[in-house]
Order: sequence, then C-alpha cells, then structure tokens
Amino acid sequence: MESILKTKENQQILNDLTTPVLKSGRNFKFLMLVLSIVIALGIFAYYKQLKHGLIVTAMRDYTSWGIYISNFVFFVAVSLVGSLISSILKLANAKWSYPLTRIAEMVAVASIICASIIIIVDMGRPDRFFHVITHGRIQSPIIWDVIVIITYLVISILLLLLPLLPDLAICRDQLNGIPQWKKRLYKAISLNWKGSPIQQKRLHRASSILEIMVIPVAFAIHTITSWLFATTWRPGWDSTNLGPILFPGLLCLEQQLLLLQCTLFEGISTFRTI
Amino acid sequence: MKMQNKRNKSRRKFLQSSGIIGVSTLLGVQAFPLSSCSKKTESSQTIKVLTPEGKLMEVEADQLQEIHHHKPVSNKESRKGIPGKKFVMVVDLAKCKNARECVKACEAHHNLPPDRPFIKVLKIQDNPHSSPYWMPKKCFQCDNPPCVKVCPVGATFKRSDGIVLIDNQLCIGCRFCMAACPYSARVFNWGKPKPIGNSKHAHYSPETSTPSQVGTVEKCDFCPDHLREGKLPPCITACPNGVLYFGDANEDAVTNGVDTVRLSKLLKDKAGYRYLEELGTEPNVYYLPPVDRLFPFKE
Ligand code: SF4
Ligand code: SF4
Repeated sequence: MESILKTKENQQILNDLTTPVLKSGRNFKFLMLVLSIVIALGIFAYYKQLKHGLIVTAMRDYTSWGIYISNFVFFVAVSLVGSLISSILKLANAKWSYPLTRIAEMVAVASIICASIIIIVDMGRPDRFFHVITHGRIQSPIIWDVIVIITYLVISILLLLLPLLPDLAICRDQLNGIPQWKKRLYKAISLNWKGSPIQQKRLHRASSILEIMVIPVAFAIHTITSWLFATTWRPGWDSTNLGPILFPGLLCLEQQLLLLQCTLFEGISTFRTI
Repeated sequence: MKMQNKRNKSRRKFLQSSGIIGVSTLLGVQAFPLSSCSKKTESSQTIKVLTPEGKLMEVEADQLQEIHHHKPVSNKESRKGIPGKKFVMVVDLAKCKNARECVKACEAHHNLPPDRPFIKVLKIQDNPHSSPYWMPKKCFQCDNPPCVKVCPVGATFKRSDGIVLIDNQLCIGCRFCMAACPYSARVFNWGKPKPIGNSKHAHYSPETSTPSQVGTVEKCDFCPDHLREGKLPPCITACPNGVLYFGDANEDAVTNGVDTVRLSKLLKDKAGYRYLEELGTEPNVYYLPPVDRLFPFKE
C-alpha cells in the first residue's frame, strides 16, 4: 500500500480527500451551531422533566406514551436503512448503491442511538434503568426490545466501522499537523490497519458475516416493536397484523429519508452518485 | 414498644409491665409527640387509660407514644397474599347516586391528590333512549391480568388472594401496564406526589401504596393492610348508599358494612356481570345491573 501512495497522482487524490477533514466551511459551522442549540434546548427540557416529573410533557393517563414513543418508532424505522442499503444491496451485488452505503450506515447508527436515548427519556424512573437487567422478565416485550436494540446497535456500529478502517488508516497516515489526541484517536480506531492481503481477506469475511446477520436482526427489531404495541388492549393496536402492517410502512419511510439525506448532502457538498 | 424518654426509668418500667401503652392506643387514645418530653414540667396533663385487667389508670400524657400494631409488611411478604382468601367486590349500580364518599375515603387512606383518584365514578349511558347511571370503577384485580404480563421488571404482580399489587420501589415507570390495562384502572404519578400527611403514610409497603413516588404507577389495591386486620376497605364502609360489597369468594359471602349476603345468590338473583367479560381478563369485581332504581338520575 505504501508504494501506491507514493505516486504523484495518488498523493493529489489523498490530499483532496483529507482536506475536508481538516478544514470546514462556513455552512458546516453554521449547521453545527444550529444543531448544538437544538441539543442544548433538549438537555434543558430534560432537566426540567427530571426536576418536575413527566407532568411537564402534558401526557396523561389516557395518552401515556405520546410523542416519545412515536419518535422511538420513527427512529427504529429509520435505523433499518443502514442494514437495508449496506447489506441487502451489497449482497445482491448492486454496485450503484456503494456511494450510498456510508451515509446509510451513519444514519443507522445515529438513529438507533436516538431510539435508545428516547426510551430512557420516556421512563418515569430513569434512575432505575438497571432494574431492566437485575429484575428483567423475558416475558415482557420491553425486555425483548432492549435486547434487540442493543444487538442492533452493536451490529450497526461494526457495519459502519469495518468498511471505514482503510479510510481511518489514511487519516492516521496522511493527516499531519493535527493535535496529538486526534492522532492517537485515529491510531486507536483504525485498529492497526495496514492493508495487507490477510487483513483485506479478514475484513471481507467479517463484513459478509455481518451483512447477513443484520437482516434477521432488522426484521426482529421491527416486528418486536410493532408487536409490543399489539400486546396491549388499545383499539387499533390489538392485532397480530401489526407486525406485517408496520414493516412495509417503515421500509418506505426509511428509503424516503435516505433520498432526502442524499439530496441535502448533494446540495452542501460535491457528493455525486456514480 | 420503644420509649425514648430515658429520664424516668421507674415510671417507664411500670408502664411497660402493665402494658398500658399498647392498650391506650387500642382504645384510640391520641398519641403525643415525644418532642414535648424535653420541655416537660411537673404539672403536665394526665390521661386515663384502661389496663387489660380492666383497671382505670392515670398516666401523664407525654409518657404516651403511639405504636403500630401492624407494621406494614415487607415488599417480599406482600407478594404472597393472605392465605386461603380470594377477595371479591360487588358494585350495585342500582344504588349508586354519585355521592363520591368512596372516592374521598380512598383519597384519605392512600394520601392521594384529587387529580389522581383510584376510584372513578363515571356517568354511563348505554344508548340514547335509556337513562344514564353512575358506575364506580376501580382496578378489577383480574385473575388473568394483562398488566402483570407486560411488566418488564415484575414490579406489578398477582397474589394468591387474587389481589394485583404494585411495588413502586421496583417500578421503572415505563407505563406499559397502563397501556395494557383495558379498564384504564391505573394512574401514573406524572408530577410530585402529595406530601406525607401523617405517620400512617410514612412507611412504604406495596400493601398500602403509600407514600407515592414520582414517576411510578399506582392503582386501587383493595387495601390489604385493612384486610390483614380483618377490616373492610375504607371505600366500602364510607359509601352511604350501600353500593359496594366486599368479601371472600371462598366463604361465598360479601358485605356492604350493613348487610351480609351470599355472593353466589346475589349474583344469581340480580344477574351480576363483569365488565368486558369477552376480553378474558377474569375480573374479581362484579356489577349488578342498574335496574329498579329508587331515585332519578341527577348530575
Ligand atoms: S383492572 Fe387493569 S390494572 Fe387492574 S388487574 Fe385488571 S388489567 Fe390490571
Ligand atoms: S410502569 Fe411500572 S408497574 Fe407498570 S409495567 Fe412499567 S415497571 Fe411495571
């Protein structure tokens, strides 16, 4: 790999690739500012909720889950996009989808993290979260949800990280003049990637296994979430059809979201599909 | 029987040996706060109490201390239930006038704020042509309880005596049980609970449901603390119209505090039914239809 990097054209490409990592434009900074404000508002609202109880949400006994759980279902739905794009299409050898893969994987990891945070925010006693582990009853769909979300989170992070390894190695080797801690971070998360044939082979094997594994897990996360609702006696939910009904709906949602994401991304950068 | 006043040893011994302290509380003598002991003077008030031997005695008021005969049972103990019992309630809709005394008694017993009642008295009109009636509704202590099945941590549980309770020291506040209960019997502590009013509410037990905790669920618990003492739940005795009957299905008897009747006969004669029977939740609360009413419906 070292020898390839030495040629002049390649050096140019690498420079082009790594510049955006070091320098960020005005738009990017503005976006980060806006998002930070949103996050700060959210933290403040959560602080209020911790102080006064869930009464600040205006939920009541008859509408006891409200927008928290709607959001949870939304994020769970969106998270499937990672597995869909990066595994089903890869397994089907659809080469056109490759540029989408990384966006899809990022979206997947981000949304599954959001989904797990929302569950904790929705709890009346977040301080007792560990009761789920110490007193958990496998009979309850909530425990299933906890297990499947954690599994899916781990798989999505791996699915994002593994194909990222060569790029992280480039960052590690090419980026000069960055703070020491960033250097160390790149070194740590690139997992000593050197691009040797044996590493290539292992990476390929691991990715294939993950790509296959994520499909049943993705099915599980969707059907568990929908059938969780079906175990209650609420009219409209109380049906075994809820799993099959929700699944196609969620598939449509996440594809639309990916399209939106790509359009936005194309707008703010020079991203192009091949 | 804990005495904190260490000064008057001889008097303390005397009181203990004659068992007056226990008896005095049995007779309903008001307890006095111990803080007044330190400021005690020789001319303090005295109070008459009866000993078990039937002798009338006089004791200085500030020597008295309330004791709890029935310490609230532990969380573990309260999961078992009272052996050999199967508690049921019967609600006679023909008699309910919306007096709301049961609601008030429940509020006082469980130290509830008015916006979180365990008993709701609902106005029901089955169709536009029939007269409306009042329906007191609480947790039905289902024998096949959907709420218990879905709880992720086992905070809500079914006991051998048929009662479904909640351990609010275990509850994580996910509100899954509320969504699962088809009768909307559960209430959630959305905000801070009411401050503790008296010492009776201070020690937590799932059997008393007090003190409440923010972010946990609660519901009607059939007052097992009263049942352990052989007393009826406060709502039953509070009802001025004799609407609510309570009893033991194993004994086949229920009482509304005035009349005691045979449960099977009552249900048979008055065509008793259970609410939403078709769901298969097997409630332990029966309703008698609102027929032959003695009074017109008033809002
Ligand atoms: S009435 Fe509701 S809360 Fe009470 S036992 Fe039945 S399902 Fe549970
Ligand atoms: S709210 Fe509490 S009692 Fe109800 S299901 Fe959740 S943990 Fe169990």
